[in-house]
Amino acid sequence: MTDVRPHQDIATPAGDIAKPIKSELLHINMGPQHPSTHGVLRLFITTDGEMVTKVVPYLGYLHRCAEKIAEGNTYHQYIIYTDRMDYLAAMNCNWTYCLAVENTLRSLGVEVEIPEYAEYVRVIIGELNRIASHLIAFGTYGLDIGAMTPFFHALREREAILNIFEKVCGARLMYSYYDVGGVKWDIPDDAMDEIKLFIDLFPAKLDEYNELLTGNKIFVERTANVGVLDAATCIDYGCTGPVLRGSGVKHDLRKDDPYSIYDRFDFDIPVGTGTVGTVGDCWDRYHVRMLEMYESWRIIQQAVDRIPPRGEVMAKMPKNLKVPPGQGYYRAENPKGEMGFYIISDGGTVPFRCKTRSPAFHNLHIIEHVGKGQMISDLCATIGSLDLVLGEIDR
Amino acid sequence: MVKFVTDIWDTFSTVFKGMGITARYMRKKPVTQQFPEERWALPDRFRGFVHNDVPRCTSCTLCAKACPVDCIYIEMEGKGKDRRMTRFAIDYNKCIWCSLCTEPCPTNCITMSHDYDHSVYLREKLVYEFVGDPVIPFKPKKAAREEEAEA
Repeated sequence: MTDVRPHQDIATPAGDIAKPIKSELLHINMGPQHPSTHGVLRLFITTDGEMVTKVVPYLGYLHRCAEKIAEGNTYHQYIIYTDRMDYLAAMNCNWTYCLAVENTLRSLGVEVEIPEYAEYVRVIIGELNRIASHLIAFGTYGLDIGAMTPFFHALREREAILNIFEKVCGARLMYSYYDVGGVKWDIPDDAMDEIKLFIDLFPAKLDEYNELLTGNKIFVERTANVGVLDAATCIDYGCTGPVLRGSGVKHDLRKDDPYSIYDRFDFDIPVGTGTVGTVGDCWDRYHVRMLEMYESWRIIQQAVDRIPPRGEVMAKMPKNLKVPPGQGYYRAENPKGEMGFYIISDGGTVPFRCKTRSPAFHNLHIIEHVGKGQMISDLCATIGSLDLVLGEIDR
Repeated sequence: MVKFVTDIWDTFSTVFKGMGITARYMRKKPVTQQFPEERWALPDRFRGFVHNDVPRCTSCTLCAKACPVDCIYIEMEGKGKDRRMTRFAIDYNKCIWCSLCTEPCPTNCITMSHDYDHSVYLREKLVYEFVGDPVIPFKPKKAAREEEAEA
């Protein structure tokens, strides 16, 4: 398994050639059960001492044939499988899939009028889930680097969000709350009170996180100037979401291609600026997520203020949903990046083909490029900053 | 040299800032719950184990058709007036608590209960049989007529 490189000659102070130091390439597996790979990801690494010379990700440990399953399930039944893709942001996956089906219907001439109240509910719940997903990214990134405390602080706030979701839809992780044509239930009063309480408390908690981890000198030393990705490489590899924005590209589908009712809200797109190091380093990607949590908080605040009185939550849809023959693709901004569903219909109650474009899959493959020439410990920091979810990569 | 001193100062000051937050939380009450002893109140919409109220079940198999993982087994025998439901079983190994089965039910007899802790040692024990002896399926129209006659 090892191949011996040409011997390096090292000159001694006396000037003559001393005994050469033999260095060998070593092939090791990082994962699939490595604690800092965020799931069952196997990285095949070639190392020269402490330096990494080659990284190859091996996928498929969590493959569940989700795209094939779609071909045997009706459009409503497949929603529950989208839950299991990005399990940290299941609401957003549901939402993207529902948007894809609705827009495919629209493009093929079927009217789908989503009620105003349902649109606001979708935005509030979707943004809450974005905060929950980024909280996990923030907490586990601290764990990867070696900071234990932020993880517990992050999980405490995530627990508050999950309690809201439990009141809204009855589940804590696999929600299947969004439905084609709206949402399944309204937001009950006690959950609305909790959302308002969360809005009041969250900015103070964000300041705490920043004090705990963002400004911490040890954390900055571990992440600044590490895993630098320039904008062109990110675009070449198809990276989206915080990974692309961390490299200074202002690209967010909520602003660039507004879906749902995002054009009504006032929010900014944070990008990496290289505050403590280079633009596009691990710290920038991490910091973009922290700023995005604040922007999501702003959107929720505006949506809760403007939400219309409780009304219909579902558009009038036929019980046996059939999509006319044709195809459609729709994409939306998930916490991890740009998620898309490509649906081909042959006119029946089940899709002929349903392809998923998952953001973490594309974000992962940049590790081959950025992992070269890093230390092994920096590779851990880089993987953490990409915020991977294996359920979505393997599907 | 100056950078060395400022780095050391930054490290200590930022670490102690974080420690300050931890110290502040030491005086506060813990947010964790001691689970088996303390239990939180379940919300109304909580999706626990699926329950079927057999006396009101029409054995229409709509729930079995709606299930995306095919975990509901319904077996019948006889035709017309002799129709009997011999089996209504739910395989909780497969069930994913999506509540899609509760939506098409004409009599709302299949519901999501608030039970969630039914751990067992054997997988076979998670297949719950709701029907023992064959039962006559519920007939909503007949029941309504009988109710009217009683009134």
